[in-house]
Amino acid sequence: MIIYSFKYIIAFFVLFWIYWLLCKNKHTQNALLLLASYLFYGFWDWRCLLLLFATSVIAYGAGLYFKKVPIADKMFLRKSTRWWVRFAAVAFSLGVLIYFKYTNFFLSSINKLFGGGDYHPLSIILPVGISFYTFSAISYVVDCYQKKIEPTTDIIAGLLYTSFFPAILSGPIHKATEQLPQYLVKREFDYGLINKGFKEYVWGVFMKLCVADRLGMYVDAVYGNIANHNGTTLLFTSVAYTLQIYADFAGYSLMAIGCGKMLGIRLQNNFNLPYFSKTITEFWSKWHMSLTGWFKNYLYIPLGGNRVSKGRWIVNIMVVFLLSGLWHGAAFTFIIWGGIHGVAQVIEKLVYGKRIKTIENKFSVANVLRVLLTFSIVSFAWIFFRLSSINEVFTVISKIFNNRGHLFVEPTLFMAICSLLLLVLKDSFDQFGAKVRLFDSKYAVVRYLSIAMLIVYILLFGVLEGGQFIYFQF
Amino acid sequence: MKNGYIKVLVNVAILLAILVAMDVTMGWAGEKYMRWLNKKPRNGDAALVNYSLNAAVPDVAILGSSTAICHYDPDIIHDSLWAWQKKDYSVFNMGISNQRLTYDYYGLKCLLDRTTPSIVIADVWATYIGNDPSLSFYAFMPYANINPNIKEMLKSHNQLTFMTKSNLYCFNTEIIKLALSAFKSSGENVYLKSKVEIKEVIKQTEKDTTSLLPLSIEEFDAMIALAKDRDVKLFVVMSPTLRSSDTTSLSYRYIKEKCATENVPFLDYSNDEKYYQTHYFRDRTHMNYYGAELFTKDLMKDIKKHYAMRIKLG
Repeated sequence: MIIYSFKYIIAFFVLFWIYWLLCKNKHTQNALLLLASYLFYGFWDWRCLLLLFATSVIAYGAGLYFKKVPIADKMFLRKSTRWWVRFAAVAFSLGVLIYFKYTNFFLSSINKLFGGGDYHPLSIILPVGISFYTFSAISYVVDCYQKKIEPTTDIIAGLLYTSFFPAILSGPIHKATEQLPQYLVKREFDYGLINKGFKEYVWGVFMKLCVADRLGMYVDAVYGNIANHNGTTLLFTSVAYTLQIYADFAGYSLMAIGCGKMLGIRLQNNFNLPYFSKTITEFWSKWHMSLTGWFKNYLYIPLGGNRVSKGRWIVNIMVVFLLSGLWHGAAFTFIIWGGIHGVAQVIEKLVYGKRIKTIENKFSVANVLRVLLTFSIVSFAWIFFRLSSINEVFTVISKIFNNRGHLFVEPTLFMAICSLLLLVLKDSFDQFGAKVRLFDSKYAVVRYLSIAMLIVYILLFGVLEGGQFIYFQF
Repeated sequence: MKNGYIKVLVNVAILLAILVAMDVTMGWAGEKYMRWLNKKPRNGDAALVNYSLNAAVPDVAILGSSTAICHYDPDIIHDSLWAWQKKDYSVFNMGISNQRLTYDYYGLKCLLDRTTPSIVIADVWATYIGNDPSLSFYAFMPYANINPNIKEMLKSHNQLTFMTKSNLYCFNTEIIKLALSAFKSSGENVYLKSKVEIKEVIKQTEKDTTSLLPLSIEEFDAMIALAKDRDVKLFVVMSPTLRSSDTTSLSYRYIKEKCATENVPFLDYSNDEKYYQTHYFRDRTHMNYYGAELFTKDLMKDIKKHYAMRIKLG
């Protein structure tokens, strides 16, 4: 069941009223949400429910142990049992992720390395959302271990933390310290929050169906037939993909955040106008913020962060970004994508030094150039992200520089550009603090009509059939 | 809190009321617009679909997909009939890109609701009865609530859902094509004008393993029965391509046998060596202007021969 499908909307509407009218305390609220989450996930693949359940139970169990044994006691191999429990719980989540997502990648790479013949992939299914819920589970285990949060004894709340349905397929990745406490109190009906959530949901649907999927049709048509397209078209397509992936992922995140708000749960904001960033460092503070935060808290800082020697600090950054690339997909192209971002960050931090934090957020020629440069680097890196082999990437890059010609134009591109203009307009208003607020206008007529017009626009111009989220595969 | 519930309900009700009003208005305006659009045939796929389904009343109709558009020149058919019968037959090419048997059958039904043409040419190919038609219904959605034949078509292919009751939903994507049709003057077939030549001939014999679809068999049989019932001379034609047709395929054999049983002329040019020339094709499936000219003339000769043997044109 896709989060913007008609079935989902009807099911959510029913759930919404049962939740607010019949669930009078946090236990019934959590129980209903957990049931809905498992049903929702089961619609995708009921076989993978067991895996989700096991990951959630092990994280919850580890939390219980940390509560029972608050300080290091018995030692085993010079480590406390608390340490071992954390190690086992994290290893389980990572093990699940590695087995289901990377086994074939590692085996085929080893096979290639030793000059083996054709590699026949093992038939391992990739459970949807596995990268997201395993990371949420790890966040809970580590935060409980480090005593950043009090482990919960409420098993329903514990399971719900990992499985909350709007976010399970594509995030945002939960941060235990922010997410768990919300399940431990009764959610009160808040009209303002629900209203806001609804508008975010509709805007998310617009971004996904009218911008991302329309651009996607063009991008797929071109990248599916690289040999027959010239450099001009390929250059345009790489920019189109840059915008498509933003609209796709930010659109999904907004839908998830909106649904969460309508149920009284505030999920972490995941995007904050990333393409207006002036540096790659700033870009990563605005793009997939929940993943960036996760890598920062659970990998970069434990590695020593920037409080180490310069050489070690560069290594830390590269490790984080290469692993971030690998998290996105089991292929070398993803690792290179991560590498490009890592190298770009290292270079700009070396060039700017401490000034990087003091670049003012104002309109100036220098800032426009910075934004353009950042956008170009990001777009270039997305080529590696989108294409499935290095050969294809080199063909595209070589054609961009050597093979000019007329732009390939399709009717769907016209619709994509109209929708894109709307998106850019809204994002620009948000970025530059313009006071045009159609959805939040003080005039009821403007509010109702703008929302209704947006829904009409989606029904008329959205790609309503067969869409899929790019980030589902991660 | 109770106030909050009421507020949410009121908001939902107002929004739904606005959407329903827009939906109804859209349906009304859409129907009017399409009627206006039908006053003269215009270029563009959407306008062509609209005109074919709702307005065309030709004496000779050509049904099919993009191959029908590219391979049959209505002017040549018209002139040929004029030279032969001294009568001004109107000829209309109802071919629509990416369409299959389902469109041919329901397109014929729509046509027969308005007129009884003398000749109908159905352009087919070797996998005609084995192709899955489910990917090609987008173009017909705007007519789900307007044209009963199209409604029946969508229903028989499980395309009618609760959402298709909405005019807004039905016009999805197609609205822009329909809107642009207003600015495209009536014109000649742009495909037929193509003089692009394919650079190399790669003659392929592709073994067809497609199984027959029961619903497609039903539709093919119904199309033949419908034509016979209304006394329309139906010609089932396989036009040339640069891919040799697999004459052993289930679909091909079914078409041939059914036509023979029902006494429907089946003219197969798909394996005719005469057409394997680079300068007759713009790609491996579609002929260019030169190919269409040659093929349509040959087809008309064969149709005349057929009539000479059987009946006089009414």
